[in-house]
Amino acid sequence: MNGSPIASGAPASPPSPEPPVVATEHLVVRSRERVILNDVSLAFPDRDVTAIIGPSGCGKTTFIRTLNRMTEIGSGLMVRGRVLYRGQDIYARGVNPVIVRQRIGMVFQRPVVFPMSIFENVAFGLRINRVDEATVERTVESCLRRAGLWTEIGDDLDRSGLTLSGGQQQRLCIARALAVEPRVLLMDEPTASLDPVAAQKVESLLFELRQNYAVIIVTHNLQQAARVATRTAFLYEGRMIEFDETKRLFESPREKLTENYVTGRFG
Amino acid sequence: MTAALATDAAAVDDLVRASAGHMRRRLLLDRVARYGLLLPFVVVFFPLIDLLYWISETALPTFTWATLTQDQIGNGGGLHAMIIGTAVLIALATTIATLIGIAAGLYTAEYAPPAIARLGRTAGNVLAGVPAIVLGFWGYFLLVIYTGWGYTVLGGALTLSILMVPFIYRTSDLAFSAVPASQREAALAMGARRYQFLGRIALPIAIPGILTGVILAMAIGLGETAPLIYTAGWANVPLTGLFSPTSYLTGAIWLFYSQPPDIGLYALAFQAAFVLIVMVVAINVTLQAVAEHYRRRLRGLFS
Repeated sequence: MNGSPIASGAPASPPSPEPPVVATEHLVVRSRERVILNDVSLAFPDRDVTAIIGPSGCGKTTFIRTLNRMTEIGSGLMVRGRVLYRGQDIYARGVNPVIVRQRIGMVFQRPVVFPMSIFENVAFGLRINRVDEATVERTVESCLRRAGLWTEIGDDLDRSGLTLSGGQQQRLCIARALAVEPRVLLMDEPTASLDPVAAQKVESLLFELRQNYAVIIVTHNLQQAARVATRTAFLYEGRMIEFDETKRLFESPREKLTENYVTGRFG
Repeated sequence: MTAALATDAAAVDDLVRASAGHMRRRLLLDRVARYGLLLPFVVVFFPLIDLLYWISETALPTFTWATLTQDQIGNGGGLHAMIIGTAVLIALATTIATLIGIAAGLYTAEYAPPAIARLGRTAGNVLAGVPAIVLGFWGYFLLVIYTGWGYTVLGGALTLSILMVPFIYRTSDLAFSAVPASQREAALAMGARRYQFLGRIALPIAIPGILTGVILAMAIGLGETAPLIYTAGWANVPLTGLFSPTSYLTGAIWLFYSQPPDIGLYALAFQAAFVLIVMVVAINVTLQAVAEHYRRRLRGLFS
């Protein structure tokens, strides 16, 4: 799949030492009215952060939602092409979307805290899988630590998660996503609704997460992509225009469109 | 420069005078609104106060412990069997109506195809509008005659629950429909199955709304007489099981109000009304508190 040509003729993925953990092949997503994603082939390395950038409406949110079959929830979108998780097509027959979403977790633009305690929020994914209590307690603590929340709220776990600040809520959502031990974390503009200080905490968390997870982050904040992502893909009008190491993409893009976008000429 | 800043006396005069006129008009309107609206406000509460006074006046002077603990006998006695009857009827009917109402509301909000959901909502509204006495009449043929049960507590409770169900059904439907889509999305993104989302997240969010319907349905159910006259029968002694007939508080009001005022039965009608109102208030206050408890846990969810 690494050799498959894409629209612009650039390689689908820059050279990477490991095989990709998630990849799309000729992904086409369409609604009743229009084509939202057109022939997108991308490969995402394990244990690294990859950013998807592009102007509003370019299809970047739809793109990451296809990566764990969230597009199937009440959207009426049609998906063609393949999405591979460690080589297996997640849209193939016999693959349960519930299991896909446990392996490939998601964090949304606005934090979505469940109306329950902080502890139960993190424990949610374990409870629905009937994990024993001792494991639940251990996992909740370790996930809150990994999300950088333990020192802030570790002694207050019975409080309603809804009472936390926006930034804490988003990190709680990250802790909750980590609790089911996913291999991949999809993040749809995870800092867009946060103040700069809270956003910075989530960003620095990404540097920790990249040790253990493949993180795919959608952002329209170019500086953020430059700070957190090893590689960046640029989407424009449903097409993948360029995918390269972030530094290269920003400093010496091959495509004129990319150059115009990263230099702020549109978007 | 200074010329531009100099005060134009005419303009000031104009502004101040116009403002004053404007202000007078507004103050007047405000006063009209304030006192004009006071009257309807009082009219809303006057009947309640007068009604409580009027009932208490006859009910309380002869109200003793025996009023609650004695069965009705001859021309006197107490409300014992009727209180038990009403309590059992409303408890049974509420349980049945709540289980069915929540399940049907959940189906409508969550699973039903749009056309079926619309049909269900319309049917619910129609059922809520069916006159209680028609419902009782129908209950008589179905649950007294057709089943061969005769007059029973169960028949009465079932008829009552049919009267109550549309209120719980409609509020449950609304409450489940109002659960934020983001909650569903986040739960499913965690690998939750739909029933897990519904049970663990949607239901707790919907509970305050559902309780509003339950409170309304219980207040209506407690006050009904017509459906019970046809189905529950009457008995001066407390019910002994689901298939025995029973008396109930609203029935006491209906049966005894026309008795001569100088005998105990007449006062019993007022005492039944008094106990009924106390029950309605107690249930209302309790369930409101429960709803508030759940609502407090949801603070911040809808912002």
